[in-house]
Amino acid sequence: MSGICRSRLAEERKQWRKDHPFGFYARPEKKADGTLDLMNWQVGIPGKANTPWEGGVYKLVLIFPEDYPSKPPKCKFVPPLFHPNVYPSGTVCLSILNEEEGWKPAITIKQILLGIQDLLNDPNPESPAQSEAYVMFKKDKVSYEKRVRQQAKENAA
Amino acid sequence: MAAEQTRDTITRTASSSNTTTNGDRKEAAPTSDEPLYDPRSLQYLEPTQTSLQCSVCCEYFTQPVSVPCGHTFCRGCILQALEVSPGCPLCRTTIDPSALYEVIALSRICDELPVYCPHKTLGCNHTCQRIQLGKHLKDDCVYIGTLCRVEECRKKLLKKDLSEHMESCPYKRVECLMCHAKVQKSQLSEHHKTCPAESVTCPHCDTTRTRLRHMDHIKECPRQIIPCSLSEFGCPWKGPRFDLDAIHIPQCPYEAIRGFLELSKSRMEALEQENQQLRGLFHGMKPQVQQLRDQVGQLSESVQLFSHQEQQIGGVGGGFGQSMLGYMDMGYRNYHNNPQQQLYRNDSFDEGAGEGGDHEDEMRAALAMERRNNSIGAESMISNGGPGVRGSVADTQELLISENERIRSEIETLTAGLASLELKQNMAIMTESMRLQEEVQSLRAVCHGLRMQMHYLLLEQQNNRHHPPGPPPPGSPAGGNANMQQGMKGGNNGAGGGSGGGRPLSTSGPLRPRFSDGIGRQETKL
Repeated sequence: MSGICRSRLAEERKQWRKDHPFGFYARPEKKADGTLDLMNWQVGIPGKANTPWEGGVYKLVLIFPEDYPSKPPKCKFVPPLFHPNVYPSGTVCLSILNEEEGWKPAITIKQILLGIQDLLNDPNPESPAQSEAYVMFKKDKVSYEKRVRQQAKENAA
Repeated sequence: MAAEQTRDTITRTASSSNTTTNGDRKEAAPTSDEPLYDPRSLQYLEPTQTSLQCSVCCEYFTQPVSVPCGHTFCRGCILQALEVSPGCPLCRTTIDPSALYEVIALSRICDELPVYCPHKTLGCNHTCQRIQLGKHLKDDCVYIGTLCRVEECRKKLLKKDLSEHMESCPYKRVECLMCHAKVQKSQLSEHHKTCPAESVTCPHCDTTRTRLRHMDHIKECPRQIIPCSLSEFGCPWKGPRFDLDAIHIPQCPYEAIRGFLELSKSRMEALEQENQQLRGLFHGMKPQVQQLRDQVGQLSESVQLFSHQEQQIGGVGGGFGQSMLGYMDMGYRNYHNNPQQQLYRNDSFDEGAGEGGDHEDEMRAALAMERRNNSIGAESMISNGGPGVRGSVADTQELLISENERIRSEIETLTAGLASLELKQNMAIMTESMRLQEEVQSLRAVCHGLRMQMHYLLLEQQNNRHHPPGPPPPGSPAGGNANMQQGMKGGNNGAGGGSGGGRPLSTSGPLRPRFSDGIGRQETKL
């Protein structure tokens, strides 16, 4: 079981190092003894240009289960993000990251990160995850965008 | 036609997959059960072509199978993915795990991809088609791990280092050139020191022979320095062996008295042996002596007890010795005078007496009787003189002991009675003190009530003195006093009622109206 998990993650890392989209980064964490911990990754997603998210690089951790790639990784913004589809804990609510919904073992880390980047400026009001951002997004678009811009400044690379 | 073909391919793939797995296993078998390499961690010469990649493990296909929706995965990957969720890893179409078809062409393409030997990091630069990797690892690769062939060593090393290691393995057996025995290499130099075939030079006569023969030679080497054969008796001579018989023995002063020395030696030995035996005997005796000593101690204790009791009973009966003698005498007389009467006292002996009537039987019966009487009680026996008691010392002692026992039990009952009395008294004292405590409590409450009254009255008086223009200064103390007295009386009454009712706190209630009464009275009085 773990055979696939680790070799797949090693392969993912190889592919990522070979080629990855501009502005993104993704690297496995280091263990105390200096070796790489392939089960936990630190990644950064830049906000898309020409959106209020532009300028910020939003940090996440990806926590891979032993059943990966049969089960999706857990993606968590650190610190938690102001966004209608991000839980107060920072966990991302996205269909392709849901084992019951859209997850497929063929989805790569690159696809996950691009999916989350798309989600940033295209929130899904059907599945709100935090009330603050959701209410503001629904009722007061102007202050919502202002808040997002401020957040982008705070997370500037 | 097409359906037939597919079925054909299915069976063929099934059989071929079986053979390949079997083949793999055979290849993996020689060293251990674990496979020679992990197909997922292979390094390929060409950059990965995504079209030949399994989307689950992101590697080139290993035993590729296609699923009904048309996608292809490694057999291991799809089976594992289906364990978690039954959908296709790419399009999530539900898949039946039994409906997997091997893709032979793709399998061949992937098997023909050139790969590096998995031991590339160790230095093997071999490259071959993936399908030939098993053979390479089994037969050719010298960078594969193996164990030293010597049982005691079993060192882990690379195959290429094995022959070099075998040369120097410290556990390797080598043959000793002298004695042809097989010895571990590390112990060879050690072996040379003791090898029986090694030639050794005698240190005394400078002749050379093998070690085995040297052992015999050293016992008779004529040049070896030896002490005189009588050195044990004190001869200080030492010299080469051939001088001993030729020169020394004729001159040796000890040789002259040899007979005497040998005799005394043998005698000394005999004595020593005897001494040894005696010592053993003595040690065997020790516990016996201890045992005897213990017995004597016990006996003397019992004798002391006996004499003590004798004194006690002597005090009561006025000279135990006399009384003893007295009833011993009487017993004899009674027995000799009317043995029949004695026997009739106990029914159980009637028959025996009637039948036998012979002297011995009578004697026996009398003895049994006497024993019974002893157990009845010492007192009666002393006062009566004891019917038919033939007092032997042991019997008297028994009697005394039983008496002692009786007195002791009496004392014990008395002690128990005393203890119970003490307990009762304690209980009585405790209940009494509880009662007193309660009383004191109620009295205290009464006192408190009185104080409150007094306080109230004094306050009232003060108020009267200041606010109304009323009482003249000389009259006020008298009025106050009267008020106080009133209050005291009322308090006493109230307290009495309170203590009688057993609720001292409630007294303050009924007291209140009385103050107003007092005030009214004061006013009328003034």
